[in-house]
Amino acid sequence: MTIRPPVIEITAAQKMFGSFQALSDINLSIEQGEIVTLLGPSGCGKTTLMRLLAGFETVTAGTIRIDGRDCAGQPPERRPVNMVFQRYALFPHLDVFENVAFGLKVKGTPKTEIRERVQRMLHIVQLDSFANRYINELSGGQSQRVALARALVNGPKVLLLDEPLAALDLKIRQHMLVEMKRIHAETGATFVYVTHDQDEAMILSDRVVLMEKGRIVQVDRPETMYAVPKSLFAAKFLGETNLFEAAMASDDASGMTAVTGSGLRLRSSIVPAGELRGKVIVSIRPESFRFNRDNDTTQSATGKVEDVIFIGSRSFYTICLADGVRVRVQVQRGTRTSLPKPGERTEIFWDSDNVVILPQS
Amino acid sequence: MNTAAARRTALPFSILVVAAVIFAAPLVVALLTSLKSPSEITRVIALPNELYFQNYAIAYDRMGRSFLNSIAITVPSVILSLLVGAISGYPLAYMRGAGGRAVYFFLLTGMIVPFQIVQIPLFFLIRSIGLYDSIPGMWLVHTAYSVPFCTFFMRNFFASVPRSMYEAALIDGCTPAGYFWRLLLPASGSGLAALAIIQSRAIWNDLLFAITLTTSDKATPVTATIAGFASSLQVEYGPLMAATLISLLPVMVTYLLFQKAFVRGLLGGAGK
Repeated sequence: MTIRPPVIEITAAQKMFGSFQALSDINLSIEQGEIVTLLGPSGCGKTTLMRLLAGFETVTAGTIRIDGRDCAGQPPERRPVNMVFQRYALFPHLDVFENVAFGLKVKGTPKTEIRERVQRMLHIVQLDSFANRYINELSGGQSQRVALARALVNGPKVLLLDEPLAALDLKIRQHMLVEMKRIHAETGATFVYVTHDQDEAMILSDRVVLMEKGRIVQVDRPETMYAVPKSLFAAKFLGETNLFEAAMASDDASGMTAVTGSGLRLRSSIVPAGELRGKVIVSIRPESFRFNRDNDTTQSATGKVEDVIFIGSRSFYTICLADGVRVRVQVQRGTRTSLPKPGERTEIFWDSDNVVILPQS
Repeated sequence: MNTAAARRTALPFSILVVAAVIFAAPLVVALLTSLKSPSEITRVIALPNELYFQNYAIAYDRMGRSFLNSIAITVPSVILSLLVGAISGYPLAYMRGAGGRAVYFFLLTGMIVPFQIVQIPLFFLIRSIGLYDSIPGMWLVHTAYSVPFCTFFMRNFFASVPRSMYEAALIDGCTPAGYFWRLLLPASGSGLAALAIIQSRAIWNDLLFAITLTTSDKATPVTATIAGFASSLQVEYGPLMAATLISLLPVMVTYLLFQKAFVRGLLGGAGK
């Protein structure tokens, strides 16, 4: 595995707006060429962090280094970054070519070089034939590509993307995500992407930085963050999950066991981030349950099927366990197991490597 | 359209027709009067027996020079007031903190000072700097007097332009001044057009500055000349109405040419 140098290093960064603490104790290192997503609910500080990287805001405390240089007091145009804005921020009186060429013109780049670079970038975003169109003649997806081209043509080491797909409808958004991955591969720039949409974060990112109330709560690969959330917030924010209130019962080399109030024993083989004692929350994803027994290590519970919701590629079963706790079970379409019907009693099974025990807060 | 829909629209439609008639009536009366001979002039509502264009000849003869003066006063004054309004509105739209707001509110107070309060001091001031009865003097007064409104208008228009456009320009290496001249101003065509129409109308129709600060043919604008058609002894209704209609033409043409931009500008760029 090759170790790439960090292009962004944030150390103990804080940001205050008056008496309001927008960011506290931010420590983050981003490698050259990574796609890192800042994910979190509205007001968690992800856009503020991005604006600190862009130079539109300054840190109250701590340091930000981009490409090895301390950014303190450095204005946006002096940083090796560029940005794609939520509402594209294109210049309405200029055509596509002029929009993309603007930054190069400002820097005094020779005309022939401008033409070459703009044409290359329009080719990358597949807008070669749109060079002479005005912005109001473009669709949302095309405008977003122009915004990407305009930012990338300046050759930034880091491209900041502030919820760039928020204004697009679902189909175009999904298409643009694939496009963005392709463009990233072609340009090799580091992408820092802000979103509150977990699907976008999962699809696009090499790593996800999950934020809550101005703090980073977890930094991980998307699949790791989904499978092994380190906090209740992470478990709830990323995807759907079943949460059980329980108390720690045992902790040994092979795993931990928590017991719910009704005596249901939930065993986990996942090593927790910290020490767990007393009351805990146990998280099991809906797709971790099955209606058939796989092997000897499987855990199980019995309940009654209350409801079945069919949503195309999958179905959600609501199972009411003996103690009244309801569990959501996801079944992929085409599963060969015989499935229970509403009103029937059934047994559900799960494995210990899908059980995550979390501290209560 | 079905009967229910027709019934629903009947009342608002009738109200709009009445309003349109009320607004159009003075213009129609002015047009009819301007085409009547002196013997017919007292029959206000009646149509003229024959079209009497002599009123237009008299009006044009007496206001010819002042018409040119009005153009010479209005065009530069509008350009200058737009420029000053845009330049002062820009930092106020983008400036954060209490300082910007204080300056903005101070400027707004200028809008509530009636001209009559400053009429006499202004007369002495303009005379003392040697600009009395001169077209540059009128430029100066109109531009200065429109600073609060133009600043207010352009500041609000610029504030409706997404801040991200400013930030996108900055991150591309553009200076704040460069952003203003290269991007914001060219992209604000609709706002500038709307303000240009408002200012053209105000400056072209001004009478108080005109009668206070001009006296001779070399600077008197058309409004002051038209006022001269009505003396204490006699009102020449026919030429007066003809002159009024002639003087309306430039403002109407300007509005018709830029009405789309005018509406867009008043909506603060909200339209596409």
